[in-house]
Amino acid sequence: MAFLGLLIDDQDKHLTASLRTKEVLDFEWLPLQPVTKLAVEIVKKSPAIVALDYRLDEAPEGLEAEDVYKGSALAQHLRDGAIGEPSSDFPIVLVSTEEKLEKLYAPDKTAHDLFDRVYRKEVLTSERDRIRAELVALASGYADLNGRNGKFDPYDILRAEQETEELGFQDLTLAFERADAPHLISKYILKNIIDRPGLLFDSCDAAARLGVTVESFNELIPTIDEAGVAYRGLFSDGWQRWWSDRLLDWAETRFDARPASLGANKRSAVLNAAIGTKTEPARSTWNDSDEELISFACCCCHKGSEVRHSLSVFAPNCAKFTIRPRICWDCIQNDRHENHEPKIIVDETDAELVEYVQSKDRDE
Amino acid sequence: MITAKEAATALRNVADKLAHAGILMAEGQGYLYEEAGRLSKKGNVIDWDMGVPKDRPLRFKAAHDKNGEKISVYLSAEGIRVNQSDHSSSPFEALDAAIVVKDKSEKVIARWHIDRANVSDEAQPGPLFHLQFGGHLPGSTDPDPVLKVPRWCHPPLEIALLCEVVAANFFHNEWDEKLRRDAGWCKAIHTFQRLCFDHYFAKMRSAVVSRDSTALGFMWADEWS
Repeated sequence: MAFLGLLIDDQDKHLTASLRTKEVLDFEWLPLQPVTKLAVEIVKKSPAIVALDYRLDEAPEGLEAEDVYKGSALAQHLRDGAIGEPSSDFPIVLVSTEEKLEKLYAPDKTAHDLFDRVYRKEVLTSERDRIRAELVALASGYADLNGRNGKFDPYDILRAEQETEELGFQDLTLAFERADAPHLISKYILKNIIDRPGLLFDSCDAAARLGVTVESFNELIPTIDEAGVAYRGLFSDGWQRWWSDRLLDWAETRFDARPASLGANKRSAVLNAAIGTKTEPARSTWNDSDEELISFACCCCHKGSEVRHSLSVFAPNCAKFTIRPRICWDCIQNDRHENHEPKIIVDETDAELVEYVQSKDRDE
Repeated sequence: MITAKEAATALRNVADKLAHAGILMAEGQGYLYEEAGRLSKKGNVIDWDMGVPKDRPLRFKAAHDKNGEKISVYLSAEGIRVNQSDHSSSPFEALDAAIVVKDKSEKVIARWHIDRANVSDEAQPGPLFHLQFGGHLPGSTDPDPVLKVPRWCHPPLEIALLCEVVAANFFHNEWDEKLRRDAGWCKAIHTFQRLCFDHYFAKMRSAVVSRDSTALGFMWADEWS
C-alpha cells in the first residue's frame, strides 16, 4: 500500500502530481482552514509526509483575515503535537516559490528547524527524480522511527557496525538520547550526517578522497559497495552516501598510503591498475593540475580541490565530527561565493586572504 | 615588527585551525582566544607579553606512543616578553616554554624546555636561545633531571610555533592534511616566524662567516648584547 502524503497549498493544488511516486507515495491536497483545525485534520489522516507552501496567506479562501497564517505556523503546531505522540510523527517539507526563500529560511532562522527539507517549486519538474526519491526516503524513514517507541539507538538507525564505526561522539549520543520525537532524530541526521561530510561522504567528497572525477567515481561504486562501504542506514534511499572511515580504509589498502598524501594522478593510476577501471584523475580547479593533493569537495562548485588552494568557510553550529567546509580559490576569484544561495561566507581566520586570492595570478 | 594586534590575530587563527583539525582541546582553544583578546587590546604596541601558565597548560588531544599507549601532550610558556624597540637586539627579553608528555597515568615521561638564558654577570652557560631535554620547571614537583646539558643551540619558538611542533610530530596526519598547506595557517605561522627567526638567523648568518669564533660560540649567551 502506498504512503499517504498531504499537500497544503493555497494556490498550487496540481503539485500533487509532481510530488507523487506512483504506487509508492500518493499525495492528497487539503484546503486551508484555521491552523488548529487543519492540524487536527492532518493528524487524523496519519500522513507519511506533509508538504506545505510557506506562503499560505496569498489566496486564503474561506479564511477570515485574522486566521491567515504562514506555513511555519502550521509546521510549529504539528511539531508540538508530535512531541506528545512520538509514534505518529511525520516529515514536513516546505515547497515554495518564494524568491527570497533563503532569507526567510536560512539555517539560523527559527523556521529552519521546523522542516526536514525545502524545495523550490521551480525545480520540482527538472529535479523530479531526486526530489521524489527524497520524499519517499523521508516517509519510509519516519515510519521506521515511529516504530521504535521513542528509543533511538544510533548504531541501529544508521546501520553502523560497532567494530568499524565510531559513533561515541557526545554530540551525537546526547542528541539521540534526548530526542523526544522522530523529527528531532531526522533533523539531527539530515543536518549533521547527511548534509555535512564527516561520518559520511557524498559522491563529490568520496571522489575527491580517491583523487578521481565525480564521473569516474560512478565507475568505482560497484566495487566499493561490494566492499561494504555504502551507507544503508536511515534515509539512504534518498541520499546516496558512503561511510568515510570505511572508504578511507579501503583506499589506504589500495594506495598503500594515506590517500591525501598522494597526488590525484597517482591515486587514479593505482585504482585503474588494481581494479581495471578507467578513472580520470581529479584536476585542481585553480591550476588544472592532476598532481595536486585533491582531498575534499569544494562547498561551492563541489569539484575536488586541494587545501593549499582553498579557504575555510564559516560554518556555525556544526557537530564536532563534521568536517568544516572549504571553498576553492577558483570560486573565490570568480565571486561564486557571493552569488551562491545561500551566500558562502569565508571564515574570519581566512578572511584576509580573499583579496589576495582574488588578485592572484594562476602561476603555480 | 609584529604588533600586539597582529600577534593576537595570528594566535587566534592558530588556535581555531588547531581545534578544527582535531588537535587542540576546546579549553586550550578557549585559553588562546582569551590570550589573543588580551593582546589585541594592546593595539599597535611592539612590546608585549604572552604566556600559558604551567597550572593551565594547553592540552592537546590524546596521542599515542610507539606501542599504541595513550600519551598526553601539554604546552606551557610561563613568560614570553617581547620588546622590538632595539633592532640590534633579539625581540625576546624573556622566553620560557616547555612541552611535557605524560603517560596514561599522568606521569611525566618527557619534557623539553626552550628558553632564553638569563644574561647576567654570571650568565647561565649555554647559547642564549636553547633547547634542553628536561630542564627545571619552577614550582614543579617533578624531580629535576640530573643532567641539565646539553643545551642545544636553537632558535626561539613561542606558543604558536611550539603548537606547530606538537602538531607536526604528534598529530602528523592531521597537520600534513589540514594545516601544513593551509594558506591561513601558513600566514598565521609566518607572523611568528618573523618574530622568532628574523633577528636570530641574521645573527646566525654572521656567526657562520665569522672567523673569530665558531657558530656555537657566537650564539653563546655571553656573546649577545
